[in-house]
Amino acid sequence: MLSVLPQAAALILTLQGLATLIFGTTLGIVLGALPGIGSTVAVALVLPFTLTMEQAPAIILLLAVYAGSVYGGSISAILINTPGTPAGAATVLDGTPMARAGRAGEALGWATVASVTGGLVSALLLLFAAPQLAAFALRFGPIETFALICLGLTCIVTVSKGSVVKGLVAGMLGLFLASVGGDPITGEVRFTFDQYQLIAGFNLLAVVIGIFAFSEILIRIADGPDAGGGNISFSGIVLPRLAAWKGRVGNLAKSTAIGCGVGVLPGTGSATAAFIAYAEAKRSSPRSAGFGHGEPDGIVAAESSNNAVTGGALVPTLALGIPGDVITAVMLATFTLHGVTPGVRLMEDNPTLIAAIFLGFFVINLLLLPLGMLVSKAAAPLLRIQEPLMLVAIGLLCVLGVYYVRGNPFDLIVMFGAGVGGFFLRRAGYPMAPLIIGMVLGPALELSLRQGLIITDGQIDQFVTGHPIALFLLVLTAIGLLWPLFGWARRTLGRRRA
Amino acid sequence: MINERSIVAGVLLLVPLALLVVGRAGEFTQLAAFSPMFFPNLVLWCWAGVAALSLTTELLAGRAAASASTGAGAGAAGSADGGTGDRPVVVQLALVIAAMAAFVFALGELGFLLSGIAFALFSLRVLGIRSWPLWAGFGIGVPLVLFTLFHHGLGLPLPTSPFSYLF
Repeated sequence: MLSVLPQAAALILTLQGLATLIFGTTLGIVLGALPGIGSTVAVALVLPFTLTMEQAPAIILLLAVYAGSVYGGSISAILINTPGTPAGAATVLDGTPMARAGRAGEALGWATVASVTGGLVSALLLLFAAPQLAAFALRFGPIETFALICLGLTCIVTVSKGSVVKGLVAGMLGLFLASVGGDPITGEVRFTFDQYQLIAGFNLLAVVIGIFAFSEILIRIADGPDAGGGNISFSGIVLPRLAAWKGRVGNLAKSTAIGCGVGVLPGTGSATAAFIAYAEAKRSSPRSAGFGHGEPDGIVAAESSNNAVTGGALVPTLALGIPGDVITAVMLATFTLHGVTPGVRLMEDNPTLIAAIFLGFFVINLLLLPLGMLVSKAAAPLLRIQEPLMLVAIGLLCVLGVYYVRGNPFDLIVMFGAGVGGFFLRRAGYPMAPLIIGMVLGPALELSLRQGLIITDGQIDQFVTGHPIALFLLVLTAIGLLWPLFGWARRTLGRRRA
Repeated sequence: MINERSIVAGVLLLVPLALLVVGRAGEFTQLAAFSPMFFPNLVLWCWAGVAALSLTTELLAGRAAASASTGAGAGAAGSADGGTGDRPVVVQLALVIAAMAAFVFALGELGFLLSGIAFALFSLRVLGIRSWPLWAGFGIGVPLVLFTLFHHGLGLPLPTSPFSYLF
C-alpha cells in the first residue's frame, strides 16, 4: 500500500483534485448541518452529478461529502438542538446545554477539534492497518455481534437524564419499533396491521427527524419564546486552549479508538459508536456529573468517535464489500456505480485507487478544521433570525428531507406521528436518545441473537462458553449496567456515614 | 393524582399489553428462537415491565406533590401559558400540528411548492409574524428557493401541482 502512495498523491494533489476536496467537504458540511438532510441524503444528492466524472475524483468528492456531512451534523446539533445526522444525537446531549449557556462557539470548537482528530486517526488507520483490521472483523460471528450490541445498549442507562426507568421505556419502544415489519429470519411480517408500507419497517430517518426536529418545533412553541434555542449567541468557533485539554486527551484517544473499532465492525455505524463512547466517557470522566449539562468531555467523546467511524466503516466496505452502516451502504452502491467492485480482491487489483482514496480521506479530515470554522461562521446569521421563521424553515426542511430520501409519502406520516408522539413523551420527561439507540441497534440485536440461538441450538449459556470475545464484551456490559448501582450505593453509604 | 405525566405513563403501559394481545392472534412459525414473535414478545414484556414501574413512580410522585403543595396547579413540565405569538400556546400548538398534517397530506395533491407556501404562510401567522413583507417574503420565498434548488437546480424531482409540471 505504501509503495503506491506517490502515484496516489499525484492523483490527489493537483489543482483539480484539491478543488474537488474543498468543494466536496464544504458541501458536505453545509448539507450535514441542515436538519433532516444528513449524510445519507447528502451523498445520495451529490451522487448523480459524479457519474460523468473520472473514477478517482468522483469517489473522493463523495468521500468528502460523507466526512464533511458527519462533522456538519454537529453544527445543527449544537446550535439548534437538531442533529443533522443520527450520529449527531449524542452531541446534542452536551452541545445544546453548552450553547444555551452562551458557549456555542466553545462547544463547536471542541466538536471541531474532536472531529478532526477522530477523522485523521481513522484515515491513518485506513492507510496502515486496513488489511489487518478487516481480518480481525471477520472473527466476529453473530454471538460476538450480539455481545457488542448489548454493550451498546448499556448507554441507554447513561443517556437517560433524570429517570433511568423512563430511559428504559423509551429504549424498549425503540427496540419494538425496530422489530416492526419483515422478520429477518423467516420473512414473516409482524405488527404491520395490513399496511404494506410497514413491511420494510419504520424508516429510521423519518423517526429521527420526527422526534428530534418536528417535536423540537412543538416543544419550542409550548415552552414559549424564552425557552428555545433562538437566544443562542454565536459569532464563530472558539478553539479550546491547550490547557483546557488537560485531563481530556485520554477521553479523546479512547473515544477515537472506540469509533475506529466500532466502525470496522459491519452493521454498527457512527450513531452506535457515538453513544458507546459517550457512555464510556460519562462512566470514566472525573467530570461525569456535568454530563448532559454542557460538559465538553461529552462533545469530545461523541464527535471524535462518530468521525472516527467514517474511516473505520470504510474498511469492511472496501475490503469485504460489507457496509459498516447505512451511509457506507450508500457508498458501496456509489463505488459499484463508478466501476469499483469492493471485496477481497479490491486492494490487490486497484492499489493506486485505494491509496488515493485513503490519502484523499486524510486530506479531507485536515480540511475540516479551516472549512468547519468558515462554514459555521457563515451559519451564524441564521441563528439571529426570529424564532418563528426558524421553526417554519425547520418544518419545511423536515418534509423535504424525509420525502427526498425515498419519495415515499408514508415516511412523512411516520415523521409526523413520531413528532407528535415525541412531543408528548418529551414533555412527560422521557428522553428520546434511548428510543433512537433502540431503533439503531434493534435489527442487528435481533438478528444476532436469533442466529446465535440457532447456532447453539437454543442454548443461551453457550454464548459465553467458547466465545472469549463475547464473554469479554458481556462482562463489560454487566459492568456498564451495574456501575450506576455501585455509584448509588457508594453515595448512600457516604451519606449515612456523614 | 392524575396528571399529564401519569396519563402518558399509563398509555405507555397499555400499548405493549395491547400489542402482546394482538401478537398472540397472528399465526407464525412456533419454534422458540425461530419464531418471528420471539424477539418482539421479549421486548414487549420488558417494555410492559418498565412501563409499569414508570407508572407507579409517576402516581407516587403525583400523590406526594399533591399532598406537598396546596393548590399550586402547576401541572406537568412546560405549562401551556407561553407561546411565540399572542395566541394561547395550546391553540398555537394545535394549529401548527394541523398545518403540518395538512402539508404532509397535501404534498401529493398540490405539490411541494404550493403546499409548502400554504404551510409556511399559515404557520408564520399562527406563530405571531405580523410584518406583512416579512410574512409574505419568507412564506413564499423559502419554499420557492427550496423547490427551485432541488427540483429545477439539482434535478431531483419533488411533487408538482396538478396545474403545471413547473411547480
